[in-house]
Amino acid sequence: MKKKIIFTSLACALLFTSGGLIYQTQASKTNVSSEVILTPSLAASDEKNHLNLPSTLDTQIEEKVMPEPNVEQFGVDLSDVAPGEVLIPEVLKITDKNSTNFSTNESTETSDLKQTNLLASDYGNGYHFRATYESQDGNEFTVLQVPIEISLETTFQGVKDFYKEPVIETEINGLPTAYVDGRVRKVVHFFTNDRGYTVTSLNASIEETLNVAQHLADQLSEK
Amino acid sequence: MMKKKIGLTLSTVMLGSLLMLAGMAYANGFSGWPTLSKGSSGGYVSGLQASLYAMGQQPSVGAVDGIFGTGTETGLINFQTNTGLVADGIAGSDTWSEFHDWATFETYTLWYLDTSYSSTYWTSFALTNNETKLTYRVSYKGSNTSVYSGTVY
Repeated sequence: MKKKIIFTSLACALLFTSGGLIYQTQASKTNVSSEVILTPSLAASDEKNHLNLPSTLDTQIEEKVMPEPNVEQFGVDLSDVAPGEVLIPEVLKITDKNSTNFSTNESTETSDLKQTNLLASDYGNGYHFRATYESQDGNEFTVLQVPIEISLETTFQGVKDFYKEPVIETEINGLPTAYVDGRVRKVVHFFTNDRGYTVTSLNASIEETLNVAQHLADQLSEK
Repeated sequence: MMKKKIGLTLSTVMLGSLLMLAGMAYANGFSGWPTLSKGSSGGYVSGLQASLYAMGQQPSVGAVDGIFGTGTETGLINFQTNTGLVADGIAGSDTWSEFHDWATFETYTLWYLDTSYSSTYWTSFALTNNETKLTYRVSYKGSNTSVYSGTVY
């Protein structure tokens, strides 16, 4: 009886150990961490884009791959950035949709867009800042503040040449502006003499995206 | 007179070529990318794999290694299905055009893909070396740490 118990215990221990070793080997081969991230429901997030999203793909599981050792990093710790470099505000504004003056942006009825993330990178020509904001109704906006690499004219032409969709030229507070009402993303670019600002959204309308850009330009001019 | 005409024609052709080259120097997204399918390899395949990461296809693609294998094909078919394209596993003009629809201009030499399909990764492309070299970079969304980078061409 004792022999049987000892044999069973040993067999179980061997099974668990080998299972663990196989898992470890596979994990190191695929170079992924143990962190597993469930992607948000594609059908829900892209409902407004009218894309064909089969429900079977709603549960794609992404694994957080470990960085390859030779990858050059351009991310900058925000604590190393001098005060005053980040011009995009922590709280952005959007005019309330129900406001009668939504399109003209003259209404004082506004809601706050809370900043949910801010990242800085340096590719050698000045800081690039990327911030994300969320509105009360769940719309997400990404805002970029980047240096102008070449001349303003060349950069503006670059914007016009980049998109396949029609690029509409306009002005926000007298600043050269170009926007794209794309099928899947709405983008507004406006430029000062030395910096470019971009407001983009995957789930807001172009009117809302332009409205946020207008408020951003207003807030920047107050600085 | 004939010599002048030839000279003028040659000058026009040379100027045209120079203008064409200069015109290609800015960030132009996925314009002109070649058709890729299972068995293809190289920088453009890495660029495709990096783009598929931004589309939530990391589980299918696996490593960004420049080899168009079964994983990349599956990831591409998923992307094509999700976006209403013909799901044939071949990255042709329609596929590149769809990727371009998701791309955003950042600077004259930099553009990126950041979509709701992936909660983990975004991918950027940069022209370097006097705009003769295109590189890709796959980064975490939350922390700006890059996990893959390499050369498309």
